[in-house]
Amino acid sequence: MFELLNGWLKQIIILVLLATFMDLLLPNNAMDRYVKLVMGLLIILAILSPIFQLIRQDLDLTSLSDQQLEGSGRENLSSVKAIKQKGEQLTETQNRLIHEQAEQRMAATLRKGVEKRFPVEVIQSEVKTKGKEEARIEGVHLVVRRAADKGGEEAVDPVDPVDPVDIGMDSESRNKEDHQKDEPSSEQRALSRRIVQYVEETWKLPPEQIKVEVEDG
Amino acid sequence: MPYNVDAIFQIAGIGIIVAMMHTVLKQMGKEDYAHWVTLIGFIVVLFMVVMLVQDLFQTIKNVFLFHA
Amino acid sequence: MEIVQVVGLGLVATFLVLVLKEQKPVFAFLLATFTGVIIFLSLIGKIADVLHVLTRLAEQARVNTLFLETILKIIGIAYIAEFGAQVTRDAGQGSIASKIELAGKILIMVMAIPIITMIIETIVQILPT
Repeated sequence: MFELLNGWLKQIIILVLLATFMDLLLPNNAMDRYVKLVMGLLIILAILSPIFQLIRQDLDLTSLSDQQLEGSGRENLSSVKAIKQKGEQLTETQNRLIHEQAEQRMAATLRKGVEKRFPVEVIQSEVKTKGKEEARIEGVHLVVRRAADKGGEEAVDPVDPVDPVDIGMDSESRNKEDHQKDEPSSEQRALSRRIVQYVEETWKLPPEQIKVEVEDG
Repeated sequence: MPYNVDAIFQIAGIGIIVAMMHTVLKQMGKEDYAHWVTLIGFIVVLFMVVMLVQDLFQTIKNVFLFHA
Repeated sequence: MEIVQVVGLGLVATFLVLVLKEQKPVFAFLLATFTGVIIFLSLIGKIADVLHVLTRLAEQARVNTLFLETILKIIGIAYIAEFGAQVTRDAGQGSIASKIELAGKILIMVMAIPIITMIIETIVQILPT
């Protein structure tokens, strides 16, 4: 209630101030009376506005159809906040979509790069980012399989599919464990290390953010 | 004064020179030329004034009627 | 010391107009208009500053934008109409000047119509049928 009164008074004061200033700003006195009339009407409107609202509420009670109309009217009035909220939501969604898109793109680039460089087939590549405006790469996860034949770096021949390369925040040791768990073949480990190194160099990432898993063909 | 005050002297100068030319041409008996000179001078000055008035209206619009 | 500049400009322009009026009244008239516009343009920046402050205040106090817009529009109309009327009157066309003023007044009244409608409608609603 007090807040309402506060807003009302503020509005009137500002309006009167504005009207006075405008009156002073006016050029000659030819238009004076007209301008004053309009300003007076505006001030009357401002003064009466709470009464209007009250009366409209009363009307609501008296007639149903009116109620609906008035209700919608008040909703419109109060909707500025809602609109703002909606806008924020939309912005958030948009940001999220942009992030996702960026992540997908980066993952695709990573996949291409690794497949070109190493004789492997990338099964899964994921890039995670965080941060609002300027996203940072948080982690890279790769699953690769050696392409059928070979493990050599000169990928002229088909390579053993490389298994999942998982590049994650967690320390490299865990990744290693992961691989070891499967089949700690030294070849695989070497391959994954090379991939990690490659990704590290080309993407300028700290190694602990890169996770590479090598699957057996 | 951000605006070109020299233009006032320019306009006055154009006016005086045109008036002189008008008199001289008239005395030489070339009345039609005299009228043309006046007309051209008038057009030049009018152009300057119109540009300035356009500027004025645009400014008033921007200040008072914002988006209208 | 803007005022000194403005006054000096006005005086110089007046003398030039006096000189020109003898020979070419048309040029004198254009010169007067030009001077008026320049003085006005040099002042409108300040007016805009004042209006900005008021506008920001009004926005902070959540004044209905309808009010603000209407007021500003009225002032704009008044300024433009006044300017046109004065220039026309300077040129000796008093009747056209009063027509311009009339147009300004009418347009201002038209701006007021939605407000009046609003008030009257509400009053009619208040009254028991």
